[in-house]
Amino acid sequence: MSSLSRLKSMTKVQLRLMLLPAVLPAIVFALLSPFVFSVKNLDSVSASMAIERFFSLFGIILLTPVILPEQSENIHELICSKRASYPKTIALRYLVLLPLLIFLSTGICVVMKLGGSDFPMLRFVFGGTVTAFSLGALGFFAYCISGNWIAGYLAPVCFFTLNMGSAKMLGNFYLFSLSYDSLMEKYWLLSAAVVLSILGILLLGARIWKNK
Amino acid sequence: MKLFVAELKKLTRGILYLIYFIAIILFFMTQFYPELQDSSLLIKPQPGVESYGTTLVDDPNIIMPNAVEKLLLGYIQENFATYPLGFYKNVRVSESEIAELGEIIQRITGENPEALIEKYIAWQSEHLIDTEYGTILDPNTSPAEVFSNAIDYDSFKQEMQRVDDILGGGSDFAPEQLLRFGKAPRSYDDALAEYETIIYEDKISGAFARLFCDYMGIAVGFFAVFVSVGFSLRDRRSRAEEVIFSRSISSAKLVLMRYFASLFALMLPVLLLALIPTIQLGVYANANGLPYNWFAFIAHALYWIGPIVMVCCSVGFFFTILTASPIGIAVQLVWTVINLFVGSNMLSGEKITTQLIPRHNTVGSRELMDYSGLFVNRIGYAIFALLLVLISIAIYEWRRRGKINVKLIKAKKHD
Repeated sequence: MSSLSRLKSMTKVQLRLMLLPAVLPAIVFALLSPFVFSVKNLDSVSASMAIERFFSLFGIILLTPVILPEQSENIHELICSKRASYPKTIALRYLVLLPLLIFLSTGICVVMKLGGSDFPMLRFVFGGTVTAFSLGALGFFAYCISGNWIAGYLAPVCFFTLNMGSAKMLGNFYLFSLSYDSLMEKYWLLSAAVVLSILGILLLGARIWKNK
Repeated sequence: MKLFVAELKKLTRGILYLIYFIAIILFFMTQFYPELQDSSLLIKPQPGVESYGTTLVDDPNIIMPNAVEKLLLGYIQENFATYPLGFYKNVRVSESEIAELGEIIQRITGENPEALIEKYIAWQSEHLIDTEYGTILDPNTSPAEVFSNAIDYDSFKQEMQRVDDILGGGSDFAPEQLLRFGKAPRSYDDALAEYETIIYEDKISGAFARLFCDYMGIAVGFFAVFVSVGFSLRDRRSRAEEVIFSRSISSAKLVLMRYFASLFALMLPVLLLALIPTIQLGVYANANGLPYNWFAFIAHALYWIGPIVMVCCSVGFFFTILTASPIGIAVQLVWTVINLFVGSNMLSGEKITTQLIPRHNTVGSRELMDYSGLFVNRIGYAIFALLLVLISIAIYEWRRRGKINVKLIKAKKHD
């Protein structure tokens, strides 16, 4: 089997593995959200609140459970015994989910635009994607470091809750900066999300190396 | 007692509890502690000062024109912001609804809406001022200069109810929300009365304790259920469930000891943090010879936040024991979010009756606090939590006997 066809095959498998614990719940959340939080005729500030304080939560649902399929020790040992590198497999699984993250964020913004809302589309797609990514990356990292998937969900929920009314304290890591039309914090959050994602994957690799 | 200590040790040694403990501390430091540093309310107001802040007054002469102004702006734009479930909803009104709103405006003001719009725009343009933030309406003006009242206040409230019905509910025009339009400068007498209430009735700590409970109640409402569910799933995770089922210990004793251990552990950081403002404000009161209640923070934490922890724990225990899954987290989070968003219209302690997380997002304002409603509410939720625990005990017993085998997540894939 050529490398490319092997990669394609692995990608399909990873997507299928993530379908139930991550992809479907995130899609359902995104589809149901406009019925809870109105997306019609929003001005820029209201649209930013919708995207950052509500819709971005799908990032936690999508990215936190990336290593959930290998939660069981027996399955984990079996997977680690395979030729394919486990950290690389997790990295592939993670990368497979990122386009969906961008797609959902874009989709929500498109729905809001079609509903007559007035806001800068590209800035909000970027901002919403980064907010969701940073929450998801934090959950993924917390799960990797603790080995406890409930801790994985708790960490981003804690961070999200702390952001309510704590703009000054969190500085460049404030989640809801689109409300005052600032993208600077998004660059910091994006960097942090990338670092946390890489650290999480490296941690998984280090654990396997240590056990050998 | 031995079992209680053993379960407490197991719970507090886990990573979930550590994250919870740190999160509670961070929430306290970022939300409540900055407000604690503001001692302006503890300084006796002096007569002749330019401003004593603002307050809400139930004065029809202030409420009516402000409400009409907002109604007219919505009428012009043909859409309104409402919060029926606490979540923002934009309502675009139909032609017939616009016509009806126009008739309501005419009945209230005695003037045709189109003529009123022209009058309002002309008045606005005469009172615009330039500031560093751009051109804004002079805050020292009042729309009472434009809008006259053609009806009495009771009739006005009926008309506002009709407006709220047209908009589908949850609007600022609902009669119980009209006080929001009653913003007025606070007088020296009002400021002095507020000060004396804080010092002599609340004895300082009571005024801040309500705000403490407001913030910490939110934190506990979000975070506590993770710990209780994680703790309940521990047996499955370590594959010890069947072994524990076979032990001679009664289900009631096991579940209750775990429940009380959870309550103790989850309340611990809240009670420890309550000591910080207790001591800080106590030192200030002593230094200034002011009366002080040393027990207000602890007492408020126990009866205000305690039932929240009880409910979060019992919901976590119930759903976890029933389904052997973490679905209790989702249930509690949805409940907390709905409570917070619905309660965002009641941030000063009024109408507490059914809220799991009572709100009082201000220092002082004792007169707005519905203490009798709070008492009934807290007792009610405590009883609800205990009933849920009793049901959980029964379900646990049935699981042990093999009469219930609900598993939403298969053990071999997800522990």
